[in-house]
Amino acid sequence: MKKNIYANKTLVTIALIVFIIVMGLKSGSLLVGEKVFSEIASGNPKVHVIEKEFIETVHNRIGFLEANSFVRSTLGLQDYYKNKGVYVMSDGYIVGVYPETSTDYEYEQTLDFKAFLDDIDVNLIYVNEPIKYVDDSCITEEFGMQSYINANTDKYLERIGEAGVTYIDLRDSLKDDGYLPKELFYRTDHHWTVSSGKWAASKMAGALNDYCGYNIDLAKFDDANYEITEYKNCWLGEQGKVVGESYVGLDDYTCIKPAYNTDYDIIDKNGGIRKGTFDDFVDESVYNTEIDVYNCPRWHYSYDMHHCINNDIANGKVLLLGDSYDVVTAPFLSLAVNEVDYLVLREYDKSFDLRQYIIDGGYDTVLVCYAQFMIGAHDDVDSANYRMFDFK
Amino acid sequence: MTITSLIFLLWFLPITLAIYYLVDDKIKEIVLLGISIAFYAICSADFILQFIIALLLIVAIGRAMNREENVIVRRILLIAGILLCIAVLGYYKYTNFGISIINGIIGSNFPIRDLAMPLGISFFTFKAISYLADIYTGKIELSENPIKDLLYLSFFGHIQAGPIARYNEMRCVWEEEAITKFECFSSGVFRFVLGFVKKVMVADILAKVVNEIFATDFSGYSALYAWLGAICFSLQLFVDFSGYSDMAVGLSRMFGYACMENFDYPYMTESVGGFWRRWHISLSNWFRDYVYIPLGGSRTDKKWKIYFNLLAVWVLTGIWHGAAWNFIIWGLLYFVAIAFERLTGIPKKINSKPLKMVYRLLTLLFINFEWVIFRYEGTFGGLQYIKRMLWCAPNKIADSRSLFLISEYWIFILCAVIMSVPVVPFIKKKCEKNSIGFKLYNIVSAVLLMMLFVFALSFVISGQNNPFAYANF
Repeated sequence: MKKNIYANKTLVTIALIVFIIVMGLKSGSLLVGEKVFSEIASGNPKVHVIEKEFIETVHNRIGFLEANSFVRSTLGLQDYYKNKGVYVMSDGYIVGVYPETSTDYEYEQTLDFKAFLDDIDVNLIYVNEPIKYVDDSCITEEFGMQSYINANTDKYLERIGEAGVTYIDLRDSLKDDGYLPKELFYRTDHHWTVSSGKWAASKMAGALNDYCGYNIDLAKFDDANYEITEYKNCWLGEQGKVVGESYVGLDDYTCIKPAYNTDYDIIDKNGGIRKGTFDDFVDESVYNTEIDVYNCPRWHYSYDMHHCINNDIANGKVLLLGDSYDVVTAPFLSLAVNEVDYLVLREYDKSFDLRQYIIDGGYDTVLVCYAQFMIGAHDDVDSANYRMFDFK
Repeated sequence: MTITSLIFLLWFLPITLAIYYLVDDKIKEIVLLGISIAFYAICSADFILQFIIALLLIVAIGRAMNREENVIVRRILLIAGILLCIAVLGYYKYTNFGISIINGIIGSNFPIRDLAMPLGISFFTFKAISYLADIYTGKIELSENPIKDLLYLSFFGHIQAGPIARYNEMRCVWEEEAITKFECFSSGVFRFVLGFVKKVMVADILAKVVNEIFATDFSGYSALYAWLGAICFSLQLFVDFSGYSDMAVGLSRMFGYACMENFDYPYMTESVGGFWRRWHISLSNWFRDYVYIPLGGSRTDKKWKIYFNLLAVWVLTGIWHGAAWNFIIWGLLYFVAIAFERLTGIPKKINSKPLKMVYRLLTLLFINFEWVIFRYEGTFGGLQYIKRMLWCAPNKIADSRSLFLISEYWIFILCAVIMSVPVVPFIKKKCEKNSIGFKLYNIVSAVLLMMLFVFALSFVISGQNNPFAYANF
């Protein structure tokens, strides 16, 4: 029996030898040795870095990721990537689960900031940007666990409202306009879509009219004024890359640009000014469906606007303190306001003096537009969003 | 680099195997020693110099002891060698525990030191002690060439988490068994792949459940949630460690060496004492041979001495597993259970089958509670956890999260249970009865294993594999 040609050990060995040789050669594993030993010789070896790089470049990596995605999809593993904050709902939407927070830090910082802005006679509006669910109970129903993100937000908004801070809650706007929260978002990414960005900009413009004496023509945001280009099943969001295309599929993408001519002065981070149009805010080269979805640039970030003056609009000077949601909000807001300056505070270190920046900039209004998960981010020292409510 | 990492699988292992099989048989031991040193340098570069010095010192002491005929000098050399081993282990593994005890007793504030642990120090130390003790007692006959000694202590397949094999067990399979090199190699490959699949596709996935539950404040637990965490950890630890041991056996055989089995379906045990004859067998044997028997073992007229010897073994077993009170409590509870079995003669004295079954279930329950104490950091955290398993308010019997986790991970729990019982050997035995069945078994098992290997590799590439649970000890 032992020398049976069908012996499973022989079969496995032959298959494995062929597999390892092909994989090893195609992955360039012969080069790994040189890197490993030079790392050791350097006296400060970082073999784990080489290992990480090797995984990134291994032959047919995407095939393996897809195989992995297929296995998890077949087995219905919805919270396998919970360590990366990724949960897959039964309809394929990827969501996050968030812990409870006191909101004390955010509340105190907001009130302090408001007091400062009141002193220099600048308006403040807090804009609450929803996430993919507006009712935390959907997480309990789907995953049997508690998410507190909407409860945290309710608590925070109630507190700042009572303290006299003007805010708009886009969750209410959603309900008013008859949208479901998921309609605003990509399935495979935590960001909202370009259409949602435009919709949110219209709500911000409405708030500027209502609370800051602006006189924006909200018809500017009607779809009729825009060129809309749709791409079907074209990109995979950041969370989708973790879970895999085989599991959650691809997302559609819509590029929206004004159908009329625009005239901007575009200000770079060093203060340099150049002439431009809205087209300069959109890098359409990103929309390349030939590149594989794992390695292509993130389509959400094809919109890129930091600071501009719209020469077609006479009034309004807004500082938008936002997050990555506002990548697709700020450009549309700039179509209705003379000057929009969009900052993301996590990109600045403590040496940045926001308050002096506001004084120097001469803004009439500050919009703080944050996705709900910014509330509580300060509880985690390692969070990338740790400094978002540091308005000093 | 661990033995489940991609650079090990696609670079280190194939290249070292190719070199090993290309060189002349006469220098294979030297080449394998070089490979083992290189492995250590890659995995634990900060300690490579200390590792080489320790290797040379231990082998030098062992060899000197082997040559020496004066009993007193031999004894001095043995004590010096063992003290050296224990001092190094004590420094890296127990300094901070000692500092925290001193701080607790005298109220001092000595700072906890930032000490990294050399790779596999606990396993290396025990192998070194067994090497020295076996030379002293004349159990082993050293060859002329000290390379084998160095290789025994440093073999890369055993350095991370054992087994704590003995010098005599490090023997070349080709030379001693009627088996070809390829047959030996392929049996090693099969075993290695099996271990890899167990580790990556079952243990690492069960770790998702375990890590979540043990990181949750247990005041909010339902009883079901606590039970799920405890059972999953018992299964995870077995599949993880036995998976590693399969890989270690596989690696040994790939390089032509025999390797002892470290597990024998431990959860099939009938008693607590029996469990330790099936779980981490090399460690149990080590404590039996180098602590229990030298202390007098069972061959003593004084009954209390037997229990004292057992106590010493189990306190040391606890301390070996970790420098924390929960490990000592864990070891003490095993002492209590094993002493109880020895005192009462249970389960041997039980004749009724149902009662034997009940005792078996109680044994598994006890082992499960023990793993909770083992896993839960903090002195009495594990006991609080167990309390939650056994007692809860009526509205806390089950919760939707537990039900979700069971529905999500049931297949992996089932796989782990299947791996814990001898189902596969049973099927194999049945198939062997006719040639078609055996051919079918071979083909199906080979294809299934390769498919699982590729899927397991995809889990590694997606960056979701964890370190071995036992590598921390």
